[in-house]
Amino acid sequence: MSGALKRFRFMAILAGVMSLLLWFVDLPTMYILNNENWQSHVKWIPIVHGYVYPFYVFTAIQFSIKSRYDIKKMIFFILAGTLPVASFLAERKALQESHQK
Amino acid sequence: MVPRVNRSNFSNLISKALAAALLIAIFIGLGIWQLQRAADLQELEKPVIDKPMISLLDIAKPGEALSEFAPNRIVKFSGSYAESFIAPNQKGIGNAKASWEVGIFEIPNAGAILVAREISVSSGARTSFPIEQVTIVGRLMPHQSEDRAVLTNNVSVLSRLDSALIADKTNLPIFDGFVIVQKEEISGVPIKLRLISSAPAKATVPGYYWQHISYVVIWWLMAGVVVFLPFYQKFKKNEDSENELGSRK
Repeated sequence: MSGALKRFRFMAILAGVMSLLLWFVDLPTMYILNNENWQSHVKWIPIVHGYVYPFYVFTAIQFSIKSRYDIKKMIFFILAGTLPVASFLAERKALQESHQK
Repeated sequence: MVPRVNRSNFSNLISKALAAALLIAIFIGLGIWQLQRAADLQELEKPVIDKPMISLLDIAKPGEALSEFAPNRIVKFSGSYAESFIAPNQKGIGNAKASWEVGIFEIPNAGAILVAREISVSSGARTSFPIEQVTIVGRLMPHQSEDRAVLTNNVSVLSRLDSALIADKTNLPIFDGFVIVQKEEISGVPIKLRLISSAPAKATVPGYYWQHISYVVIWWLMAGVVVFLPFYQKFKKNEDSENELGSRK
């Protein structure tokens, strides 16, 4: 349980940081600021974000199974990785619930 | 009474299975779409090999949209310039923004086409266009669809290279697209020009190859999750009922 929680927390924070970078750094640079030099500096963000999310999904599924969560909660944890702040909320919730147990 | 319950369970099961199948199909489809975009990006990175030069009149017809085979072909044609314009905010040397000298070029007994002749001088008087019969070799490009400059009342400014903007300036039918000059000759004598880069026009696909591949992984993983969830639900139900029985004992 503790290993699954640690993995999930780590991936939730990483996915959250990558989502923040994607929404508030990469997308404005690519679609609002017309500067090719800046665009070349941020092109790693969507790629890293794209590979972080599947690992986040795996850790969310593993954590949900080990915590005996129902299907709705598992879906919430899986989808939380798609929004910038939701994965941080999911991480807090997971930690809180594991302390309660 | 009992068969009615079974039928309702059965229809419930079928509707859930159909919803799951639909979701799986959507996720797999989205994965295939991203895979196609990744393949398109890889294709666009390959160098374009120019086909042999062809007469403009053999590859395009005035008043008709360019065929899919026409853009990027090196074309040759003769005629004379009728009117000249400046097209601001186009690509100059080293991707810097620069204005282009653009002319309406009339091909006798055929039609008129926009010709991007050279990069404008940054200061001083504009170079004049020849009035003699000219032979041009250049790359045929698709028309621009986005304005590069704010529309003004200045008649000598073209906001984009699009034949629709010059429809009222010539009596001849107009070719779609425009030509970037690579070589201009008057009676066989080449004219020295500040040539515009005539790199082939490329369709663009937003994003990067490995980014699209990561999205393929995500969408297909989601399809896998949809397959997995009903089994998990069943496992969870069994476990819950076992726990309930255990607590009753």
